[in-house]
Formats: sequence, structure tokens, C-alpha cells
Amino acid sequence: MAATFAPFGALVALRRPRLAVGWLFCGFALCYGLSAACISLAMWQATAGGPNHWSSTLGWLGVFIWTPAIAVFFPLIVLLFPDGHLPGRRWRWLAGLALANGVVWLLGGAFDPDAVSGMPFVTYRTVAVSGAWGRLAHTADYVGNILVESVGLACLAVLMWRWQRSTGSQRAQLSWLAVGATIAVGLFAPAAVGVGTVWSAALLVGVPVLPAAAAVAVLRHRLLGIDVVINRTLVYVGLSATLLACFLAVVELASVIAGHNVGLGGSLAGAAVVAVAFSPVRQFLQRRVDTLIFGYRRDPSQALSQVTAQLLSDTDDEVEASLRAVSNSLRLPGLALVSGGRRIGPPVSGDGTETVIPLRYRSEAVGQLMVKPRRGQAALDASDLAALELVDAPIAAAVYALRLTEQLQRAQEQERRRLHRDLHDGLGPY
Amino acid sequence: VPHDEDLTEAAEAGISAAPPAGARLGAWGILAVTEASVAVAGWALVACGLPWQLLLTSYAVTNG
Repeated sequence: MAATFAPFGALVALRRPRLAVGWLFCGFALCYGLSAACISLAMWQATAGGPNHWSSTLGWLGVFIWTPAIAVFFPLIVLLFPDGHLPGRRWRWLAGLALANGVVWLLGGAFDPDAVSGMPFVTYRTVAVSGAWGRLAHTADYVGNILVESVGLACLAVLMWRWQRSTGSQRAQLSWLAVGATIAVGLFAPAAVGVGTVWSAALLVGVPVLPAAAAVAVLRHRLLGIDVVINRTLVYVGLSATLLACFLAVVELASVIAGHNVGLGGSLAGAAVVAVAFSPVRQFLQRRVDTLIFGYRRDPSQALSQVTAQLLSDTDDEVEASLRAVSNSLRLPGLALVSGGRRIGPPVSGDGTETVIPLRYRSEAVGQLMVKPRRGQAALDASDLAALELVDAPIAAAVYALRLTEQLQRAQEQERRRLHRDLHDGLGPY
Repeated sequence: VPHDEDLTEAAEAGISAAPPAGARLGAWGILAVTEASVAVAGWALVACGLPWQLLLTSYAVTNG
């Protein structure tokens, strides 16, 4: 917690000193850092020379000094993110409750006679409180413990409410935080409930994701689209998991073959496998994730073959079918075609900038493709445009052919009527 | 070299190239104290000589 939150907090505080969020991150990290140092030194003192007054005092400090981090700093980070202001005056009570609870829980944890009961290195009562004051401190510790969860959940609900109402860059900033928080919680939750030791330690890598996402959201005034974030996240989470599994499998296999724990040799073999596998695994995952999010944007020949298959199929509305093929193969739901005053395709909706691509066949304009970017994307990028450029040629040809067919049908109808008039001298019914 | 437009947007966003001395001192000070605490915690945990499997799940490690 401390080692990862502190650099991001300091970075935000240095770049945006007037923004409270950076300082809150710093405070959060400082509480946890001091707590870690106190508990560790207490353990060291207790194992080196036996529990004594120093280990008791340090252990006592370590058990309550971190409480402001989650009782005060975390709720305020959530409430004040990303611009340092509350979402509205109506939420001031929640910030006040978090502050009050922080004080109550800190004092309760410091003076509760039972707070250090499970710690073998605390053998001396540094601050002895008993009787009515002791019971009061115990109650304060208990109430603070309960209230911190309620306040935290309420603040997260306010964050969701804020996200739902936000637009533009603030929505992008909150989306970054939401993605970071989801990954951090998803990776850290198994460690918090207590799974295996190595596994839980590996899952600690999820912790830095939250401050990193918050820092990027605050400092990057031109945010990348959230699709890019999700893409990179999926790739690197998958990559980390795959390589970690490879490493552990190689070490385990080496131990099984050798019949004993191979130690450094097994670790080196695992590291070598990871080094060799890194690039191909990353490329494989990147391709899969790209296809999942962007369709066949990197391989537009696949999209082209799907469009061609629709055009060659025995269907009456081949243009509409080919549009659906483009939409599905490039994951572009907001795709429509306008030709000759007619519109083919679903209504184009979404937040991003609409791109209009003229369709030409033999230097004749036959229509326009109206394309909205994917959800979360500000605009289509160069890869999308290149893929669309490849698939729009057969669509333009199909539209041109459709137009010719309609012209031919109209000409045939006119000719039939002319012949009918000639034969009947304009007297009979058509 | 940042584009003029980038600098304008950064200024509008309140991103400071040169923070005030107090903010600089505060941020670096908190960072130094926190990371020093983590380093001390790491040293103390190693010096304990306790099994690393036990240490990995301790509060000291997760807090650090």
C-alpha cells in the first residue's frame, strides 16, 4: 500500500499542488508506511531480544496508526475525485462523518484495551486505560470499525452516481478510476480473504493499479480512450497471469524431476522460459484482445472476406447484409449508409465524433458511410479508417449495382408503359 | 517539445511545471518518510528470520 500509493500521490501533489487528491494519497500512504515500520520493528525487537517495552510501544502504534488511511483519506479520495470538489453541497455530511469517524476510530484503536490482545510482541501496556474509559474506548473502536465500512460503501455509491451524471473529460477520468479500482479489487480480494501465501503475494501486484489509474486520470489532460485502457489491461493482466503460471510450472516441474527443491536453479529455468515466451505470448494475447474489442481492424482482409461473402450470398438485401458484416467484423455498431436520399442501417448514436466516408465507384459518388466510434472511443483512429477504406470498395460497387438495377427496372417499366400506350393507343387501362 | 495547445490545456487543467516550494518540500518529504518506513519495515522483517511464507501475508507486508 504505502510503497505504491506514495509515489503516485507525490507525483500528483507535485504536478497539481492545489488538488486535494494528491495530498490525500500521500496521507493514505504515510499512515500505512508508518504502521508497517512500527509493526515490523516490533516483530524484529521481539524476535531479537524478546518482547519488551519498545516492541510493545511500536506494536501498539502500528495497530492504530493506519486507521486514518481507510477511515478518512480513502473516503475523501473517492468523494473529491477527480477535481478536488464534492459532487454537491448535499454530500458535505458524508465528508464530515468520515472525518469524525476517523477521529473516533483512531482514539478507540489507541486506547481500546483489547486492540493489541492478539499480538505476541505487545507485552507491556504503553497506555493503560481501564474501567469506564476502557469500555468507552472499546465501544469507539467497535463503532469506528463498523462505520468505516458503511462510509466507504456510501462514498463508492456517490462515486457511481457522479460517474453516471458526468460527461466529457470528467467521465473519462472517472472511468479510469473505475477500471483501476475494479482491477485492484479483483486482484487483491483473494489475497484479502486469505488464499495461499505465494499466490496472495503475487496478487499484491493489483494494489498499485488503483493509484496509477487515479494519477493518470488526473494528470493526463488528454486522456486516452478507455478502450485503450481496457485493451492494455486485458493484455497485461493475461500476460502476467500466463507468465507467472509458466514460471511456477517450470519451477515445480524442475523440483519434481530433481526430487527435491531446486531453489535458484529452478527459478533461473523458470525465468528463462518466461523470457523466451514473453514476446510470442504478448503478441498472441494482443491479437486476441484486439479482435475482441476492435474486431478485425488489424486484419481487414477478414472483414473484407465477410463482406464479400454477404455480397455473394443469395439474399435480396445484400447491401444491408454487407453493412451488418462490416459492423460485426469491426465491432462498429453505429454504422449506416446514406445513398440517393435513402438511409440503410441502424440510427447512428453515441458520444464520439461521427466520421463520414464518401463511397465512390468509378469516380462517381454513390453514397456515404456514416460511422460512429465504439463506445468509449472519442473518434475512429487510423487503423479503423484503413480497414473501412478496404471494405468500402465492394460496398460502393454493390450500391452502384443496386442503383443500376433500380434504373434498369425503372427504364423497363417506362418502356413497358410506352409499349402499352402504343398498342392500346392510350385508350385502355394500363 | 510540447505543443502550445498542450501547454494551454495543461495550464487550464491546473498542471504545474514548477510547484511552489512548500508543496515540493511537502510532497518529497512525505514520499521520503513513507518509502523510508517501507525500507525499514522490509529490513526488520528480513532480520526477524521468520519464514517468508508467514511474512508475505502479514499486515506489515500488505501495509508496506
